[in-house]
Amino acid sequence: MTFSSFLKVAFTALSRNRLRAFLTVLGILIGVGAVIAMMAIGNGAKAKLEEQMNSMGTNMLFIHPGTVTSGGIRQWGAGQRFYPSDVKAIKQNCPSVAYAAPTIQRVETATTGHENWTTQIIGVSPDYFIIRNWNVVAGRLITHQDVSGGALVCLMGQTAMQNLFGSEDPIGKIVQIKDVPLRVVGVLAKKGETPFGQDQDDCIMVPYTTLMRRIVGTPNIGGVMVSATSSKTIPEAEAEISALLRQRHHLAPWQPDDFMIVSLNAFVQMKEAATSVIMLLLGSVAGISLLVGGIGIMNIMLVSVTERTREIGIRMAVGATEKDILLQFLIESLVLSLVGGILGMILGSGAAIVISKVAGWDVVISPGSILLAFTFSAVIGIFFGYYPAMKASQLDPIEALRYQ
Amino acid sequence: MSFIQLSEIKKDYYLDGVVVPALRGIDLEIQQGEFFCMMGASGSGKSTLMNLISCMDRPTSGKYILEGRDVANLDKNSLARLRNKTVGLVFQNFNLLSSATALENVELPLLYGGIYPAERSKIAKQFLEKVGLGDRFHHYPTQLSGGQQQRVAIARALVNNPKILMADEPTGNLDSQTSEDIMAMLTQLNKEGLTIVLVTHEPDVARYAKRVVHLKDGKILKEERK
Repeated sequence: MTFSSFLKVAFTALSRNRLRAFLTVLGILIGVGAVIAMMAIGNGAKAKLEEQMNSMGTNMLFIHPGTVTSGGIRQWGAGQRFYPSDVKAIKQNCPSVAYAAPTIQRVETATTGHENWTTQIIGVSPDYFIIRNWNVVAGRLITHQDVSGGALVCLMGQTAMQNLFGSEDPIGKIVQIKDVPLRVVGVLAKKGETPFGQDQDDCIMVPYTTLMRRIVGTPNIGGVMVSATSSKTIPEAEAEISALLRQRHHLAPWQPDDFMIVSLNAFVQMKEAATSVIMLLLGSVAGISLLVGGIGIMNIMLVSVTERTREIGIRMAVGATEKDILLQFLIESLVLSLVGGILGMILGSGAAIVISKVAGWDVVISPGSILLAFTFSAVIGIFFGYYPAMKASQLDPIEALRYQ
Repeated sequence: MSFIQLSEIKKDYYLDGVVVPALRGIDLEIQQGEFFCMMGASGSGKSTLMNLISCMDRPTSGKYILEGRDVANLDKNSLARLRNKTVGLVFQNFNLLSSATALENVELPLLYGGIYPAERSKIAKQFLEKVGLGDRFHHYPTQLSGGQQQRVAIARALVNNPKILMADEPTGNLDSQTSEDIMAMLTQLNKEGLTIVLVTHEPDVARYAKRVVHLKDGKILKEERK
């Protein structure tokens, strides 16, 4: 018997009981719909996270002064301060570190002739732009000469520029921060939000030396920002920096670190864990629904086999083999589950799109999730259809013909 | 060698652990082209014997040679193939698929015989025409009279060109006029060379056969030849 003949027999049998077939399919439909919607939401969240992570920079490590406990009081950031020389030492002595830049920033009010705007003033070195993968859309970046000379120049972030200059071209204009006049030499490319929801474009960048000496008046930097040579060398970089800093800070082996090294990857893992909890929740809803749907199919197929005992007997009497009967019922349950699967895909994709519109979440419907849902429903059809089909194929033709 | 040869055929049923013998040793030969009839009261074992000959069932012991081949111990698949190709079955209650048209019912053995759809429909139409139902292809069994339904069943039994046609009380559900038509059709088929095995308890029907065997309590009681 050819496959198309089996399909035709299955469709004929199912169309005899349309309402029943539809109700049977509902369970699978909801299950597959949930899988599709879940994966769309999960993938959307992942894609957004990745995008935000990439906007932050790649393979990053942040080094801060650590907590110090003195007299029973723990103080955050009270560990030994960092100096620009630490940045140089890390870059020179840690082979797994590709780039290192000091981090120092203050919130200050910048003024032009007729506008003022309170924003992040970030002290940078040329390495900063490489680590953050950030460039200018107009003008130039801050150079080594700017840093070594403590030049009175700055770069405008998109948001700060909007607020200070509107639609004017800011390049060559002067901005004052704490009475220090800075000439705008470049406009930064748009970066968007951090995973923490902070607007990265609301900033003005100046050479870190300028920020330390002219604006803040401090010999310290806040910390060091580092990029490892690759994502695999992040642990090595961390170990190398830790060893170097312990040596530079003259820590005895029994003393705890007085600095903290935070990897951005740790944060990614945390965020991914949160996403996977949601995925797991939706996944178990989908799983239970698919299971219930599968049981529904099995139930209906068992009823169908009993109802059609005589039909099975007739088919056997004219020469249907066990395999013919088995396949007939298996294909029938496969058709049920696949129809449910396809309807579920449409419904799930629709739900995902509605969610993206209403809740403003990013959703990504991937071909992988469609394939997965399709495979899932096929497996359920075969798994839960097998027992009833087996039962049908094992019927005795004489008994089956006698069945009323 | 005989076309059908049964020797020492026994069939036991088990009811709640008790052995109930249905056939107690049957020796029987049927030649090709015979119009053979088995008679007997209910419980005589004629239906059991019919089920064995038509390859619906296997004997408990004994030998069954069909076309020179021992089929008593064949597996279920081989029996299904014999039912499909070698034996055509006609039943008292027609046993048509109620959800299928006359044409689809006749196509059924071809479907399991692995014939392709276009060919199936062509062959099935030929046979429906042969039994005089050329204008009833797309009627469902409920839209046909008893006689017409039995003719569909005969067309279905013939469609794979079997060697034997087994008819189990083929007129049991029909009025006398229709019964005569059906029996006339079987007689005609026999004249064309088809071996026919008939099971009945009605002497009126049995008279069409050329040889009649009477069964009682699972044994052959007597044999008549005409």
